[in-house]
Amino acid sequence: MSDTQAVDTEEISPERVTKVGTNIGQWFRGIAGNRVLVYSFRRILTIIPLFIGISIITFALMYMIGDPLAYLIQQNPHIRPEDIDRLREALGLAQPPTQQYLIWLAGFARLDLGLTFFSREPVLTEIGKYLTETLKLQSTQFLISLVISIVLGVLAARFQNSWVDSGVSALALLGLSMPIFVFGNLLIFIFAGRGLDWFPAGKAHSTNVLPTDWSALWSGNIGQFFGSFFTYMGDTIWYMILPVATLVFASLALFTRLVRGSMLEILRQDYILSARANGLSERAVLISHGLRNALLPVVTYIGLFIGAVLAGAPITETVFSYPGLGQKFVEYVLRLDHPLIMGISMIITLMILVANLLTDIAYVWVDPRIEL
Amino acid sequence: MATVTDKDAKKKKTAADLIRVGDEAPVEKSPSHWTLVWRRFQKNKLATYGFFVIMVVTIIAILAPVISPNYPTSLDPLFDKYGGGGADERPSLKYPVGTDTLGRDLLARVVWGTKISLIVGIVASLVSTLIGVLLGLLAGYYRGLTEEIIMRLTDMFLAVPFLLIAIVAVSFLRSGRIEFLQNINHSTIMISVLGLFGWAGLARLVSAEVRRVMTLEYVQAAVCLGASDWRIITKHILPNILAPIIVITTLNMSGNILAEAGLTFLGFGDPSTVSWGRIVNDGVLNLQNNPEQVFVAGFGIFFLVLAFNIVGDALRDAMDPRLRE
Repeated sequence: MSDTQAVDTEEISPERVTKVGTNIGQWFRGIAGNRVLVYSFRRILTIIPLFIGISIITFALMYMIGDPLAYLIQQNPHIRPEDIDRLREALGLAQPPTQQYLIWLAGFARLDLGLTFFSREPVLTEIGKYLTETLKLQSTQFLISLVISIVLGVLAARFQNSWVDSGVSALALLGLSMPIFVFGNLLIFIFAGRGLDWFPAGKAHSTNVLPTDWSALWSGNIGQFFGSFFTYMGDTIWYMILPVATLVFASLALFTRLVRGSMLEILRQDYILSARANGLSERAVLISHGLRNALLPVVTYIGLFIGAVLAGAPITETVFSYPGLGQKFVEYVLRLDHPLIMGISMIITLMILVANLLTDIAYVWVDPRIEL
Repeated sequence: MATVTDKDAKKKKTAADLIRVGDEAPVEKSPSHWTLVWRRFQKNKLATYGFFVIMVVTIIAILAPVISPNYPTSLDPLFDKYGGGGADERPSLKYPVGTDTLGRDLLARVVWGTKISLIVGIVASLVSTLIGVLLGLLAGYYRGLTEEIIMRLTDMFLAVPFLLIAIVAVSFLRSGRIEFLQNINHSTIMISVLGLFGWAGLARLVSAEVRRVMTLEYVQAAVCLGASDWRIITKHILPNILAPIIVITTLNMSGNILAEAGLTFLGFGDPSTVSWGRIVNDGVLNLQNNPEQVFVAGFGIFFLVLAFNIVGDALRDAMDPRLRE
């Protein structure tokens, strides 16, 4: 008797506990039942070790390149040893590398990336100057190539094995095989300088065009504000055309292949057949039944793509001497500016990780069939 | 006339043969999977072109010392009134592609540069295939903790901003800070960096494929018969997942050629090694006056990468006809 009673109480007790804290318990169970939220939380936790791992690799490789002060010491043969020590102390190079890394990591957690070695400015402001330029370039090319590739991919899938399909496939193959720096130089050769001279060959802004005059807006001088705004915008777009064209040509290939493949997959499904059988117009079948479902794999791919794009920025930006993060990164590696190298590579890593996370969450959110 | 009737008779005979089932046993063995793949590959005309380009480039790379008119680093800065030559020279009879800023023969440089592109492209992707397949097999076959560790490692390498880390890694290997890395040459540096950072996608694919194959009956049967792990992996699993591995390795080759060219274009290779990216880098300053300094090597990279991409696509179509549709 006593045994069964004990079992009974044990069985009941968990329910009692939840009944006591009804509100909190239900709230918690509501969250735990929400698959997207649980999944997001789990994924956010997995980001942290990945980030730390990549930062350790980067720091180790960077630390082993060489001594940032070596060049300075070589240039000043009469520098006193105590001055070198003072400099090391000031730049944070005096500690052993593990300690330097931990200091950097602790700083990163507080969003404090330290001061650059050369200009002694905060790394974040230094990066902020160039990140906007890079993001401007990349987001523009991303949107343009997405739109073009969806159109091309849908057309190629609709007219499969026709000349449209072959043409689109050939274009994708060319874009995939063309080195970015060769295509960029080709555009410069044709459209800039001694060629047609339609566009500037490099840099991001004209020297004689001032940035948008926001203070005019606050002081009520609307005309001056819009004048400076449109001049600046026009100038920016003018300088962006060639690099964006280069990047679009490169990323168009990947996207178009993806959209075409996923569209072909969808068009073979039964519900497309039934939509056609029901007498829907070709456009309705393609757009609202086909494309909507075909875009799902494209969404997942975006996360992977962002990584490739951001990491590939150095080449395009070097070709067009565009003052973006990639071009500056090359410069900083040559100068061995530790805080800047770590800052740029880890901010881009973080962006890649977050982009992957967001696409995964979006995927789970959009498609309820996916197992967690 | 007689010949025509003979032919007709033959035709009739074959048709009749087809109707009579089981009358004659088939003499020919049915073609193996790889024979079929090879036949399908040969039917693809574009693939033949790609294969041809790769063969030609390979022969050029091997015969570079024989066919190259000059040594790629020998200088000829003096202008010869009859034969041409000198710095930044236009194409002439003496120098078919012209000379670069230092008066080095561009044709010789392009010919010698094929070697680096080919070696780095092929060997680096073989290295990453080796690592990726090994880790993928381990993860997919042994599961559990092994899989967890390997998959997290894979996630990490997938999230690495490749070019940035490669720039840092190449600078580190070139700095010669560590004793035994001091005399390492350009292609070894590139192979190790591209090989060590390029395996993650393949490892993920292989482990997924292994998990799929492991559920099939014949693998289960092999497990029940008490076959060793090694035998199951090499005899039953690996041959069945070979197709995507070969395709991805071929496509990786083009990616690695591009990456090597990109890194050397940025100036992170060995400046004394002749490679196509380096030639483009040297020529960029003269783009407006001597475009051939950029575009001969540049389009060399383009056509080689195109060839590898075409062959990779054709292999994919040949090995998995379902993907072609």
